[in-house]
Amino acid sequence: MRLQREERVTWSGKFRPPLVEQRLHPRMPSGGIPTWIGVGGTPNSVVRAARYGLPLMLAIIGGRPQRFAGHVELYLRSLEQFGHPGQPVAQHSLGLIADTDEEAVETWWTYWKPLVAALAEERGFYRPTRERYLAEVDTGALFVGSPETVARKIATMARDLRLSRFDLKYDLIDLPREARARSIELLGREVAPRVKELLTKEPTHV
Amino acid sequence: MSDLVFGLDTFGDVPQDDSGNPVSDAQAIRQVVEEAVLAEQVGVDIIALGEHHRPEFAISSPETVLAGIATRTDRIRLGSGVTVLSSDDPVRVFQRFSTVDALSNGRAEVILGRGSFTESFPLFGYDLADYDVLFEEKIELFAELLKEKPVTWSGTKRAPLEDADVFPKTESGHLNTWVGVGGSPQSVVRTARYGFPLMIAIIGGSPERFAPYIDLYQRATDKFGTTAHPVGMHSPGFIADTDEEARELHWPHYKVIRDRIGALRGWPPVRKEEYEAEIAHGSLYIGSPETVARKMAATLKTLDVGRFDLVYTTGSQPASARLRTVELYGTKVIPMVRDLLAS
Repeated sequence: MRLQREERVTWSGKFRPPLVEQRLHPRMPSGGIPTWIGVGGTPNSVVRAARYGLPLMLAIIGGRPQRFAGHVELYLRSLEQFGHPGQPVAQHSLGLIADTDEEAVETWWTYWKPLVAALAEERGFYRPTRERYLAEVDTGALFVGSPETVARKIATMARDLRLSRFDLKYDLIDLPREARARSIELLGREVAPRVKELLTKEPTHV
Repeated sequence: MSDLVFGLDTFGDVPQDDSGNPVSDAQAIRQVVEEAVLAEQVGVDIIALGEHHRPEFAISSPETVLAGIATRTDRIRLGSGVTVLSSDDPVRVFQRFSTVDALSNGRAEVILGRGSFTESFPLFGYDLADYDVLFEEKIELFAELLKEKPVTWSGTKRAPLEDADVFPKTESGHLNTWVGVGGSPQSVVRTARYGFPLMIAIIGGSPERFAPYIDLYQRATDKFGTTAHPVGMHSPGFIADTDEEARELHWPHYKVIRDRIGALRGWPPVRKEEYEAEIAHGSLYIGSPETVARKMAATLKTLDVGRFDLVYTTGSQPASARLRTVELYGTKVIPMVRDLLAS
C-alpha cells in the first residue's frame, strides 16, 4: 500500500529485501489504483482489510452466504474503529444463467458434479449428491437459474450482506462456450438491471 | 536476403508532446501501443520492448504492454528486448510470455538478457555480486521450462522445483526465445551452448567490430552441436524526411539522456562532432529514409545477420516525430534496404 500511496518508499520487513527511497516506474495516478482484499472466511483477513481501509471481496463458494453477515459486521465496525471511511463490500460466487431454471440447473449439474466428485476424492470431503446440489442452488452459494431467479437471489444477498458489487464466476471446467456466453449475455442484459430494480423497489432488508 | 527480418525496439522512453512537455508514464505506454499498431500497418515484422526501472523509460513490464498490443494487431511479432532474467523469476517469465503467446495467436517472443542497467537488482532484492550466477542458473531453469513438461531443478539462487508443471502451455509447444548480449564473448558462448538465437546490441562504434562475435557464435554452436540460428542485431536510429530534420529532432534529446546515463558510467558529455561521426561511421542510423537505408544495407552486407532492429527512441524525442520514424521505416526504409541488398 505504501508503494501505491507514497512517492518514495523506504521499507524493510522479514520476507522481502528492503527498499530505500524507492520510486517506482511507470508512475500510478496519485493515490494508486483501486485495490481490494479478497478473503475466504478468516476474520483476521477481514480486520486487516479494514485496518488498511481497503474494500472487501468475499469469496463465497459453498454454504449459505448469510453465514458471512458476521464478517461484514466485523469489517464495518473495524473500519470505523480504525477511523476509515466506509468501503464497499463484494461477493464472488459461482453460477450459470440460462433461459429457464431447469436448463440452468441441468447444464451446471452436468459439469459441476464430476468436478466436485474429483475434488472430494482429492481433499477427502463427501461426494456431491443431487440433494446437496439443489440445496446449494436454492439457499446456498450457487447462482444457477433463470435471470429472474438469479436476480432475486443476488438482490437478497445484496441486502443481507450489504453488497455493492457481485461477481459471478461464470466458467467451469468443460462448460461449453455457448453456455458461458449466454450467462454473460443474460447477466448484463437481464440480471443486472433486474437486481437494480429489485433493490430500488425494496431497498432495505425486512 | 528476402527472409531478412526487420524490427523496431523501444524502452518506452517518455516523449515530449508538441509543446515540449514530457507526457505522463501512462501516455508514454499508450504511445508505444499506437506505434506498434502503425508498425504492423506499414509492414514491420517485429516490435520488441525493453525492461527498465528508471524515470526516463515507461516500460518496466514489457509483456504487459505486449499483451495490450496483441489484442490490437494480427501479424506483427511481439518481443521483449530484453527481459532482465537475472532479477526475475524464470517461472513467472515463462507464464507471462506464454500468456502473451496465447493472446497473440503465437506471436510472442522473449529476449533474455542480463540488462545493461542495474536498478532491478536492489528493487527486487538481488545482490549485484551474483550478477553472473543469477543469469547462469536462471537461463538453465528457463531452458528446462521451455520443454513445457514438469520440471525438476535446483540451484543456489532460487528455491528448487520438484516435478513442477507450469501453465499456461503454448499452442505450438515452443516459446520463441533469444538471448541478448552486449559484447561479452562468454555470453555469446553461453547462448550457443543452449542453442538459443543470438541478439547483439550494437549501440556505438563501427558495426564491423561485431563480426568476430557472430563468427564465435557459429563456431561455438558447431562445437556444442547446437543449432546456429540467424543472428539479430539492434542499433539506435531516427528517421525524418530529411537528414537535417532527423538530426534536429533527435540530437537535443539524445544529448540529454546520453549525458545523464554517461554521468552514471563515467563518460564525458557527448560532443556534436562525436554524434556526427557516429552517424557517418558508427552505429547511429539517423537521417532521411535513403540515408538510413544505405547505412543499414552497408551493415547488413558486412555482418552475417538475419534480423535488424532499429531502436527508434533514445530520449524524449517528440511523440509525433516518433510516429513519423515508424512510418518511414516501414514504408520507405525497409523496401529500400531490400532493393539495395538485391542489387
